[in-house]
Amino acid sequence: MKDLLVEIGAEEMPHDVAPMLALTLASSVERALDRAGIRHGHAEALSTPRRVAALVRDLAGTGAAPETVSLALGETLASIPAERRMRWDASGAVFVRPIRSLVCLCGEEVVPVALGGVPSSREVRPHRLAGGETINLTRAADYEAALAQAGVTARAESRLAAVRKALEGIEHDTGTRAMAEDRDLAAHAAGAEHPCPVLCDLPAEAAPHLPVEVVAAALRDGGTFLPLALPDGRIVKFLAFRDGPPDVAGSIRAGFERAARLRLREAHALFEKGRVHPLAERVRDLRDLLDDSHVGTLWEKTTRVRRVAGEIVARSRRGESGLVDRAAFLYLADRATDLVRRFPRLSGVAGATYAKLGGEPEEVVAALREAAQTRGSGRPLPQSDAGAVLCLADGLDNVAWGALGAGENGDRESLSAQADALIRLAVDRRLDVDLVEVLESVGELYAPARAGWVDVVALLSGRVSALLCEERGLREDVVAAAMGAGAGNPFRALGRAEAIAGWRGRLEFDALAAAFARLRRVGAGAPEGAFDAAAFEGEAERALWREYLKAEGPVRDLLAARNYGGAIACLLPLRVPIETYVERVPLAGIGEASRANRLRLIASVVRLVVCVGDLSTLAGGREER
Amino acid sequence: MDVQEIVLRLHSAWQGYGCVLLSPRAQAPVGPATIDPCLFFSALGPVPCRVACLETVLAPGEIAHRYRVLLKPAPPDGLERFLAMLRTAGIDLDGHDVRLLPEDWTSRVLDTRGAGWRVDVDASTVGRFTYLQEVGGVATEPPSALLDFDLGGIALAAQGGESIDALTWGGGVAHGDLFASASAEEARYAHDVADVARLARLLGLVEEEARAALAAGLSLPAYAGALSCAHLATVFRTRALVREEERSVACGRDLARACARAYLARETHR
Repeated sequence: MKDLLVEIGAEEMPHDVAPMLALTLASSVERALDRAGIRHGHAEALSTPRRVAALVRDLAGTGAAPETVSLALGETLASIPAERRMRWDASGAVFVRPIRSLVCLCGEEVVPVALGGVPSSREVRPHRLAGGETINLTRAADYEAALAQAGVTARAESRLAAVRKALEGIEHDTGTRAMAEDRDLAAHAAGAEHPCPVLCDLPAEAAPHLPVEVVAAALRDGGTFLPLALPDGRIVKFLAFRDGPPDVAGSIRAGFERAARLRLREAHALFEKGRVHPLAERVRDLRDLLDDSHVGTLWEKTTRVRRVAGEIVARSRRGESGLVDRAAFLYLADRATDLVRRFPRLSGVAGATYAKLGGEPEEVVAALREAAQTRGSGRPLPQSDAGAVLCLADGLDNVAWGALGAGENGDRESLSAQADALIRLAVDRRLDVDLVEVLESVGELYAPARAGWVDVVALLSGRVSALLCEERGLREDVVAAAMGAGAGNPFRALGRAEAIAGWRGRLEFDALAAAFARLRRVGAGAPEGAFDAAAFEGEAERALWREYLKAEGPVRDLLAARNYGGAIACLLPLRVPIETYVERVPLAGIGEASRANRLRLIASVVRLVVCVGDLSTLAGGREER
Repeated sequence: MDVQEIVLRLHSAWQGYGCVLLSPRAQAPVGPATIDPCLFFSALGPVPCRVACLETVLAPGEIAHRYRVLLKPAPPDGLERFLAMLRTAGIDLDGHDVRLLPEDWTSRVLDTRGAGWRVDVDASTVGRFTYLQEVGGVATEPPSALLDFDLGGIALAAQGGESIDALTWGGGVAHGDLFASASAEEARYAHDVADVARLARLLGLVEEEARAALAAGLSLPAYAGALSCAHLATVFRTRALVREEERSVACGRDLARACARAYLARETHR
C-alpha cells in the first residue's frame, strides 16, 4: 500500500481561497483515481497560505505505479478551478497566485506530472522565513511530519485549534476576555503557516480618553490584533500572532506594541477631529456619500429609514415617535466622519459615542448603540423600543431596496439572510406590525423599482414560513394555515401558528378544519356583496348564520388581543352548522339570486375563519377534498 | 539607518541588479493610486526592462516617499528579492513578523490593476508587490512586477520610531523638518482653500489639453493630464464630492487608456 501526495506550492494565497482549493484538489485527485480504476483509501485536503495538498491513503495493486498514476492524473491538475486567477510570466499559466513547486509522490517515487510549467519533484518548500533548507521528501506518508520539522503546520484545523488554545490560555492567565469573533480566530489560523501567539501590553497612556469601542476597533483593524478586556471593560492587553517560531527575544512584541500605539494615536486624532462638529451637522454630508449599494446616497437611505421607522411606530405603537425619528436621522451620520472612513468597524458605535458627547437624549443614544451592535447575524437584540424600531426599519429598507434590484446587493442568499434577521427581530421583540403594509404605505420611496414589488412580498412571506418551520419546529401545514391569514406580520403569524399547532390533533378542531375545507371548496366563486339574511330559506342556512353572528364579534375581539387559541375555541361551534349546510343546502338547481346569497354567506364564514388561519390547508382538511 | 541611507542602499542594490535608476518624469503630482510615467509606459509592450525610481507621493495631509521598481519580465524570485531588499534597508527579518498579505492593487483612474501582496512588518505596512495584469486597460504581455517600497514604513520599522515626522531623513535633519509644513499646506488647501467649482472647470481644460497632445501622438504629456485628473479626484474626495470625483476618475481613465494605446502604436511602428 502506498500513499499519494499532490502538493501545489504557490506564493501566499488569499486565506479564504486555499482551504477550498485544497478540497477541490483532493476531490479531483480522487475522481481521477476512480476513473482509472485505481483502488485507494480516503483523501485528505491540507492547506496553508503557501500550499494546497491532497494526501490519498493506501493506493493498492499495480495501479499504484507512478506511470499509471501519472496517466490517471493527466489533465486533472490543470483543470482544477481556482478563483481570482492571475498571470505571472509569459507562459500563459494562470492560478490564484504564482505556482513555484509541484510535489507528486506515490509512495517513495516521483509521479511525472506538471502544472503551470512546473514539473513535479520531491522538493517541498519550507516555511518562507523560518524553515531552513528545501525538504527532499522521501515518502508521501512523511509529508506532515517533514513540514512540521520545517516550521509548517499543514492542517488548517490544527492551526485553528492551536490559536484557540493559545487564546484560552491567555484569557485564563490574564483574567481577560478577547473581543473577537470566531471568524477572527479562523483568519489568524488560515493566514499563517505556523501561528505563534504574542501577548502584548497596552498601557493606559496609549489611549487616553478614547472610548473602549474605538480602542477595540483600532486594534482589530485589518484583523491583526485581538483586544483583551478586563471584566470592567478596560483593554489593557492584546493578542497577536506571528507566523513563525516563538518571539523569544521580544522584538516582535515590541514591534506589535509600537504598531498598536501608532494606530491608537491615529484613532485618537480622528476621534477628536470628529468631535469638532455636532453629529447632526454631519447628516447634510450624507448627500454626497454613496450608500452600500452604490446606487443611491446615504442621505436618501436616511430619508427612507426615517419614513419607514415612523410608520412602524404608528402601527406598532412602540417607541416614542420624536426620539425614533431623531435616532433615524442620526444613525448614518457618523459615516461622514474621517474616523469611520478609516475604521469602518466603528460605523454606528462612533455615532452613538458622538451623540452622547453631543448631549442627545439617552433613548436616542441607546437606539444608536443598539443599532450598531445588532448589525450582523448572531448579535444581541436591541433592548429599547426605539432601538428595535430603528433596526427593523433599517433591515426592512435593506431588504426592499435589495429585492427591488435597486442595489447591488441583489443576490438571493444575502437578501434571505437580511430578511431572516429582521423577521427574528420582529418576532423576538414582539413588534406587532405588518411589514408589507409598512412598505406599501411608503411605496413612493421605492417607486423607481416598483415592478419588483411582488418579489419583496414573496421574499418576506417565504422567509417567515421558512423560519417558523425551521427555527420554531412547526409543521409545514400548520404554518401554511397560519400564513393564510396574512404573511406580513411575523409576530402574529407565529402566534397563529402556535395556536393552530396547539389545537391540531384534537377531534373537534380537526373536524372543524375538515368541514371548513369542504365549505371552502363548495363556496368558491362567491360574488361581491353582503348576504341578505331575510332571503334564507331553510333551517340549515339560518343555523349557520346564527353561529356566524355569535362567533364574529368575539373572534375579532380575541384576535385584536392576539388570543388566537381563544379565537379558535369560538370558531368550534361553527363546525356542525357548516357540516349540515354543506350536506343539505344545495347550490345548484336554484335561482341565481338564491345561489348568490348562499355563496355570500359562505364567503363571510370563510373570511371569518381565515382571520385565524386557512384551516383548509391542514392535512386533514386536504384529505376531505 | 536614516531614510537617505536606505535610499542609497536601495539604489546601490538595484543598480547591482541591472536596473536603470531614473528620476521621476511626472509633470503632475503622483498619488497613492498612480505611478510615474517611467513605470507606466515601461510596463507596456514586450521589451524587457528594469527600472527603479524614487517617487514623492502626494495625498492631502501626507507627503510620502516610495521607492518603486518595475521588473519586466517578472523574475521567479521576485518576492525573495523584495524581502532581501528589506534586509538591505535595515530590517532584521528574523526579529520581526513579516507577512505577505494577498491584496489586489487597482488604480481606477489609470485603468491599471494587478494581483499581489501588501507586505507588513509587525502589522505595519512597508510596501507592496504586484504582478501587473493590465496597464491603461491593456493586458500586460508579459506581466511586470511592480515593487513598491514605502520608505516611511521601512524607516519606522528599521529605526523603531513612532512618528514619521520624527524619522531622521539624513544629515541629522528630521523628516518633519523637511515635509511637515508642506503636508499641512497641502491638507489645508485640499480641505479648506481649493475652489472646487474652479477645479471642476480646470478638469475640462486638463482633458482638452491632454486630448490635443494625444492628437499629436504625444503620450507622455497626455499622461500628465491623467495624473492631474487623479489629483483632482483626490481633492474632490477630500470634500466628499462624489460626482465630481467620479467624473475626474472617468476622465483620467479615458486618458490613461488612450495614452497606453498611443504609446504601443508608436512603439510598434518604431
